[in-house]
Amino acid sequence: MWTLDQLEPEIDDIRRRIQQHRRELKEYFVARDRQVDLAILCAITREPLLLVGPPGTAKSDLVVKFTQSLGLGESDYFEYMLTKFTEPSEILGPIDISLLKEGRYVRRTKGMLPECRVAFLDEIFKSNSAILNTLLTILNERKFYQDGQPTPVNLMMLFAATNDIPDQSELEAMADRFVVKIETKPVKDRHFAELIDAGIQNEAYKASGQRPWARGTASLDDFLKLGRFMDLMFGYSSEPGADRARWFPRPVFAEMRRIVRALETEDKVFVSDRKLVKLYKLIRTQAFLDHGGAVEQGDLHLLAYVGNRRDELAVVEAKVRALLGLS
Amino acid sequence: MRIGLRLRGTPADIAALTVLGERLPHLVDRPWTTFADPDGAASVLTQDSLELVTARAFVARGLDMVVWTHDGDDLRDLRIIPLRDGEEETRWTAPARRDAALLIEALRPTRLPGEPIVDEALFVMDPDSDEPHKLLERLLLLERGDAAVCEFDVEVGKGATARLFAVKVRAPPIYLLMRARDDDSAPVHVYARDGTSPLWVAWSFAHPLAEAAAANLRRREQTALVDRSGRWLRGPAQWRTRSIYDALLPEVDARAATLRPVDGELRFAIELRLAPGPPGDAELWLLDADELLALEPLIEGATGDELSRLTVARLTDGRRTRYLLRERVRPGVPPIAARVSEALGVDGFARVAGADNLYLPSGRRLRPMLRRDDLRRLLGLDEAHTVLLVEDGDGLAVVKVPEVDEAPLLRWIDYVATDRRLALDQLLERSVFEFPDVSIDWPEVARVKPERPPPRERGPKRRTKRERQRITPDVDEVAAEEGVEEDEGARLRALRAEARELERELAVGGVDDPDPWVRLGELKLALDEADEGVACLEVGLFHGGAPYDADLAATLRDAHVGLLHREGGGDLLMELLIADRRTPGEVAAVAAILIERIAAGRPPADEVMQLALPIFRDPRLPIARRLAWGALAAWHGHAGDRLGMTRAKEAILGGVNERGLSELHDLPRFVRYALTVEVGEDDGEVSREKAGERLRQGQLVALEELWRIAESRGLEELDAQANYVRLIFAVGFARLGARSSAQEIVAPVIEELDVHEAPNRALFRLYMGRLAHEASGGSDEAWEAEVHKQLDAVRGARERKAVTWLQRRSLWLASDEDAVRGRGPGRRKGYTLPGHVDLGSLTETLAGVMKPKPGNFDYVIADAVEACIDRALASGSETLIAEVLAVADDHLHSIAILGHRAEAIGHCIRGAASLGDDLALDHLLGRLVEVAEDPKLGGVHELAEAVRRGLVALRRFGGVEPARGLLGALSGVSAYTAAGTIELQSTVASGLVQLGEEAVAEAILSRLVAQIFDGSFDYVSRCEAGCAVASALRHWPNVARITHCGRFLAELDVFRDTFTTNRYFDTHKILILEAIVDALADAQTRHSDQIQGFLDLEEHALRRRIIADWSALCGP
Repeated sequence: MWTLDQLEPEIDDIRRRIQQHRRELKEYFVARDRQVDLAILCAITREPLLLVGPPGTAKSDLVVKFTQSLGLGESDYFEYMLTKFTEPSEILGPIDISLLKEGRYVRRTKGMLPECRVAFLDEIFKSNSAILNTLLTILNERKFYQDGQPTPVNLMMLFAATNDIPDQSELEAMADRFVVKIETKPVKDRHFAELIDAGIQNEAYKASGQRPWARGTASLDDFLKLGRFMDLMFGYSSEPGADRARWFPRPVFAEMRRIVRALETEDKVFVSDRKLVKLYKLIRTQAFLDHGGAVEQGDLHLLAYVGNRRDELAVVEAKVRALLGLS
Repeated sequence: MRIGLRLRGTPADIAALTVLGERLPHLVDRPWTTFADPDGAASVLTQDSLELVTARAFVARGLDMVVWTHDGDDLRDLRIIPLRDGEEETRWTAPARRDAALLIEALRPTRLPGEPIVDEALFVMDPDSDEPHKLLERLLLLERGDAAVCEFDVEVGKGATARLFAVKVRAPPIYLLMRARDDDSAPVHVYARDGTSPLWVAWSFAHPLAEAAAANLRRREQTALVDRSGRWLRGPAQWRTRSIYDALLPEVDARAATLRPVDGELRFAIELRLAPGPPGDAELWLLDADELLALEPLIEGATGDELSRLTVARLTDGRRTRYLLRERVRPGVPPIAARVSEALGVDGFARVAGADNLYLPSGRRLRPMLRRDDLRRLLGLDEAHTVLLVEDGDGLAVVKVPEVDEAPLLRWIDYVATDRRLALDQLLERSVFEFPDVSIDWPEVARVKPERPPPRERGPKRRTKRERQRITPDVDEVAAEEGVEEDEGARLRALRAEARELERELAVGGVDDPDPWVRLGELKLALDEADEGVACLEVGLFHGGAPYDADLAATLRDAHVGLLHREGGGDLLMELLIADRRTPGEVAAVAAILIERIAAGRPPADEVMQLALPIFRDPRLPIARRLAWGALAAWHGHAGDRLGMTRAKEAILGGVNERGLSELHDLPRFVRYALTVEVGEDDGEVSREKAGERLRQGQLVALEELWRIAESRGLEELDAQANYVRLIFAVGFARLGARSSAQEIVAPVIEELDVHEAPNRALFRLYMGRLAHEASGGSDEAWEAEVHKQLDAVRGARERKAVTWLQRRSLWLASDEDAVRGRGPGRRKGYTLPGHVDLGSLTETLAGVMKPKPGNFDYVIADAVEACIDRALASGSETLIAEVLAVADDHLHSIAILGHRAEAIGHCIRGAASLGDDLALDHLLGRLVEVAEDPKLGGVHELAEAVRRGLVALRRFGGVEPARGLLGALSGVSAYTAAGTIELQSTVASGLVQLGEEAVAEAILSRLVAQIFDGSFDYVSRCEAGCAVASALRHWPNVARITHCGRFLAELDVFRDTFTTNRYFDTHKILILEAIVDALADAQTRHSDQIQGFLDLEEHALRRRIIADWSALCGP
């Protein structure tokens, strides 16, 4: 693992490469800047990202292109559409029959979720409880169970998509794991011509086997290094509140508190303790990635994506932007 | 050494301060000094008069009394020595000292945990700083335009004041509260309050003696702002607030550009074409001679009436001869277009909705839709009588047909009895081709003036009247053919004439002379109308009074038994009495047999009567009340049983009080027919079947007249309002059974449905649904489902809001069927009489409910009065009714809301009217008039309802004169609002019409209509008043309705509104139009009025007779 001393000399270069990578990736989409921003941020912090929107709004395309832009191969990427009939073996891999005869309950995980680096699970909330429980363990502990033994997974980034966020208590735990959720709305009304141009270009790339986005400026290592660097920074001082005192100015911190309180009180948006901590981490990382310094008021716009239910997403986004004076 | 009270900034402080205030009330309004702990929430409260002895007494009561001292003069080091044992001395370095004039001003507010939610917040700031601008901008970003701003002066000590700028926000955004509280650098102070307290305390702090402080401020008529340190700023009690928008000076950073009109109009050539459209019934067929001959099978199978609707004209374009076949469509008659097209093998031409003389091939429509004027100019619709757009292989052709003499097809048909095909063909050719020549104007061909048709020499002959008469001979001739002698026919005619004369005489109602009834009954029996005959005989017998005439009773018995087709032997009575079930006819027969036997001196045995009597005491008895009373009165009179007679009277009168007379059992059938004939229409003989239809026909003619007026005012295409007019009239026509007219009117709406905005489309569909509902007589549930379906189909909250705006106000579109009829109960019952209450405790129960106590709201009391009077009336006991009335009357004054008091009085009037107690009636009517004249009376709806109910009761119980008196007194009363006055006066006018005072009622109504149009009302009141008058018009005769409705229609434009929905539709115009069409297409109300009028008079007569019979046995 990298140490702070190793990372510090090159961290600014890494930051700039990821910024450039982000700019380049946005070129291949129409009006998906925020989704790309969040995908990059979640990749750095290894937080899962939930894309909420109807079919045909480039959710899958975004994840695929992002994966390919990191130079990852087919085996590093796992994509699956979940239904209520999906069985754990469909995403974790089938039981190895030969080992089963020996009394061992081992899955063959090659090409499946446990061995991939990036995963995209479509219609995640339509899956059954067996899948949800497995995913919760993977997201929380980055491991799954093989023959009763916890086995680490390679998963670094999880993207999920859904058309709706059901208001069911059994799904709340999974929904809460997604600290940020973003809507992907159709853009044809505002970007009719651009959409067609970009779509046709995309088809042409596909037909000719070209993948210009795959020559991403940043590598997977860059993302891992920046994530590692942030983790080291958070633990730099053992004194409680040291990171906040240095990187989160008091007025901005108070602003964050006010916004969270306003969302909870007035819009009944539930922000769990876990989510609040992760939000801090995301905001800090976002600030560091964007300008390399302390958190500024504008970095708090990440709070616009903390809504839990489908109907909250747009309301929260508008509210946060209004409170921050960004409208 | 000074004494002080230490407060901890906890809720326990309130108890300590309360004890302090109770023990030392004289110190509360003295100056106090506070030292605040710089490191915590505690403070020490001190007053010069506090002494050690007092302090020790307080310590004994648990107060934290302290002795405080300080080193030096600057109070920088305060020593606090608790007087309670075991507590240690503490020191405060540099405590904040504050002197206050009162105890409440000296207290330090306590911090509340978290971020409390408050009702209202006040953001106070320096008006000259940037903060107001920032705050207002932020509030507008948060869409909080409901905030208010104000500026006011506060006392800042020594008589000085300071001007502050404040923003008052209800349910304030927590973000702004926290921002103002947390951000010390921002000079914005936020205060909050719950409710309407004059005390504003810094947000998230609470004043320990908030209620006492608020009371102090109210006494002084002041408001105070208390900051977190406890400092008070006093200001005036009332601030002049303004909307947040009034504090804005909007600016726009944009370049200005003004567009000016310039000469020149761009025109674009658009090709008119025919496109598939909805299939419509064809009316015209343009045929060759061969095609016309194909009509033969249709002619063979069609009825004379159907053929009479077909006309033919012979035309030429100079090259070939064409025949124009036209079906004259009549309202209410199904067209035969489909059969004609099938017979001819060609599709005809259907009329284009909105264009009278333009015809398109059936199933085609014009694309694009053009304005009618453009269409007229383009196709030359004004230059020809009929224009057809013909589509063939060469494209479109505009065929113009001048006005021609279209001859009925019947005229050219000869029915022949021959099997010689040649002769038949010759006949047909001759009849078909001998039409007068006229020209047809094809495209590019000059219009040829039609020649005058030559006199027809040959051709089929029309049947003479005499011949037609032979085909449908009248009844008399049939009788003659069947061998009935001429003098017998004359006798029957004479009997019929006499019967009709008597019917007219008796149909006015209330005739209690038995002779005409008996005579009419005999006539009916002679004319073989036994069912009506027995009804008349029953009335005659009843009015003859007990003891009954034996011969008449025998006739009645025979008639009843005859109706059962049974022999009237002695076994029949027992057989009927012991049967498990009895038909109404069988019960009537039992009554008739009993009456006859008692009248003839052969009374049944007591055991038999014990079986029979309960039958007639049942208030749900399915026979005429008169007959039931006859049976009971005959028996009890014969037995001399006064108690039985009294019980019988109560049973019959209770049933009548509760349910009134039955239209089914107590109304002789001839009365219904007699009343269907409007005044002035009875100059000719009207068959009964036709009479039932005449009212409806009258309504139809009236509605057609009104529709013509509406059309003449111009109904533009692509105009939503015009479509509403069409739809409303279409619903009216559908209600009267003229479905084809309705479809014709609504066709343009269907065609241009897609052109209109979503709310209008949805409402159009709702009206079309209503049309189908009226035409099909669908159930309430089906209509509910239809409304929900249409509303669910509206997407977008704004559009749905616009749709429901009109739908809920509309007379026809409301989903609740009660609302549709406009006669709904309005609100649910506030009081239901408990099941355990018996008649003996009725007055006690009512007195309990009417006593003022919590939960006895005025509407509950009014409903209780209604329930108790209903129960008393149902008992038939005059004593009980009088007792209930007395209790109700004593407590009427306790009903404070005058509308509900009027309701209760209305119910009391019913009771008093049933007793015939003129004094009580006068008293109650006087109270009702007092309510009406009281300036505190708000809405008149309840009063109008009370008047209506009172009038019904007065009419039923024979109080016509008091009813007139009431209406006379109310005719000069003005309500609080002009619209209320109109509603009240409309009720008065309706009542007068029902009492037969049509001239007076008409004068009142004309005055009301004039008021509506004289421009003195605001928009809403005018509409409400218009709807009230239109609703009253239901009770008017047709002729008067047309006059008034016509005026409403002519001046429809005055019913404007300023609702936001008028970007889609004009609400008031639609509501008024609905109201007048509804009134005009209502054939039921007036007829019901007349029927009810007859029943009311009959009920009164019945009541008199029963009382007379009872008095004869039991004494006055």
